[in-house]
Amino acid sequence: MMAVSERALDIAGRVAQGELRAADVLEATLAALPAAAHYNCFTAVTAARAREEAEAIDRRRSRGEALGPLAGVPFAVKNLFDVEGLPTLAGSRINANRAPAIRDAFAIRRLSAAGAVLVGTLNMEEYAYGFTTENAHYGATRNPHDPSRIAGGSSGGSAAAVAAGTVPFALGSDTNGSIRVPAALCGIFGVKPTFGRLSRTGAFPFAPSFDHIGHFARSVTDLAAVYDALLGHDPDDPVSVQRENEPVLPTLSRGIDGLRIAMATGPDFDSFLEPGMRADVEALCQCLGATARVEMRDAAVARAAAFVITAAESSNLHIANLKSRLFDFDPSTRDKFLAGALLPSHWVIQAQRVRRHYLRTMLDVVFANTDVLIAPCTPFPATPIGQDAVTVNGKTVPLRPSLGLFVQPLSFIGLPVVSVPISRSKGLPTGVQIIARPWREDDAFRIAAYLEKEGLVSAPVPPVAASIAGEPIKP
Amino acid sequence: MLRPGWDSHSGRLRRPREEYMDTENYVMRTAEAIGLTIPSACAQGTLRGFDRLAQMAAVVLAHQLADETESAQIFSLDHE
Repeated sequence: MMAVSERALDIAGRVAQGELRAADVLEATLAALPAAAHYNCFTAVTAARAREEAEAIDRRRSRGEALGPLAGVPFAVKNLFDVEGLPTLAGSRINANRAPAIRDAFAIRRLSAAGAVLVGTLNMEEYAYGFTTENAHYGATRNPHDPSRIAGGSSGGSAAAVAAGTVPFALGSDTNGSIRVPAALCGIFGVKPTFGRLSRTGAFPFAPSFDHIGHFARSVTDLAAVYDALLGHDPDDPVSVQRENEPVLPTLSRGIDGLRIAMATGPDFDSFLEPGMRADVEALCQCLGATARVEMRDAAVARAAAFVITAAESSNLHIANLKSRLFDFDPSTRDKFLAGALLPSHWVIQAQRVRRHYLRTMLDVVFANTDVLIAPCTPFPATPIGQDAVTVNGKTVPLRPSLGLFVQPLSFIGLPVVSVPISRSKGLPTGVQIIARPWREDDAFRIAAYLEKEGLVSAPVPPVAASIAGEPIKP
Repeated sequence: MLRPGWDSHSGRLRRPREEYMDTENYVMRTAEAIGLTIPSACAQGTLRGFDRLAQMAAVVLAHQLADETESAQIFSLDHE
């Protein structure tokens, strides 16, 4: 017997040992979905396909064939990933009219090859443009820690599904923080790898020059195992780099010896962070023995440039529909796209120059003496659904863009980040970013594993959600 | 170089207004030029969005770079 909310590697291990059948794991997962509908995570359930995949795994085991590292593990994907037979919604009404995808996205194919079983697609912000997942077409996704609050976005459905214990892991995407923000607000682990590390083929684009895919899980080992399964060059993605696969699961037990760790500081970090959350970040740094401080001097200009490039690139993708189907867009997305379509070119080109300059500064100055930076994910925990403004340290600011304050300057230059959850006994969870040099995801994973082992970060399923997802699987 | 009329620090149009196009005129004329229609229901949100982007652009444009002629080629970390 086991709970639906068990971790991915536990499930895979028991399926491989013959203690559980993949088909039983799947049926228990599907049975829990109607009760979890309260969180509004799923936009489609792929039960028929999942049953075929689970039965195929059980047949392979009965024949004595080797199973993949994620054999029988249920997962779900943000609905911007192509799933064969489904239109790729990307959170929009417009895309519902698209022809069904003829092939799974590259990432789903990698996970299927590892034995994972796709059970459905998940809600998101329309075209990934936002941080709250309050979708005008498909409704707001609710935070499993407090269903009256946002799950964060744009991968809000993915984060909430994992946080609620309905699936052990889920795929998302991160252009300006769309994995790290919902991971923090929902209290789970998330990873945004180096730009170019994981293939985006079959993922509907948002701002292609900094779109990343990544994923969520409730433990570092699960996060690492899924990351390793996703590795591999893809010639169909023009930014996918040709590197040797560098799996991180074998590195998790190495500890943190030899890593130079510093805490990120700067005007925004100092003035626009709730005091309790600042204490959380400092506590993590203390545990890591990180006494160094690094000022993120140009973070504000990096974030500003990220806004400009995002607006220009994303609007460009939707010009035809802005002309012909304007009122089929989510109103909040529509107006941002309209504004972005009108930008003077020199704003965008200068923003690209700033981007290269900022990358060089980070590599030559910040990472010259530091291996890993520690920074908060968001300035505040999850806010009530429908709220437009927030007051932090006496300053009232627009809620939605403020959620990206600490995450945008990092995805802007493609750095790898693991987001770790801080679970508070009283109050809502928050998150902390572990930021590494390009291609050194292993350093970020090692620190995450150390913090998890020390008990400073964890992702427990909230009690109410656990009672929904906790029905035992009967082998 | 900034287009005449744009203030590099505020990202907004310089005054006096009558000397230059104002933001609303810029938005509407540019939209028309590229074949976009901005209905009245979207006008306020679009102007607010453009104004926010103008503020962000002002921060970007005010940032001094060592080499202002540096290429703005497609971003890549492949060789880093």
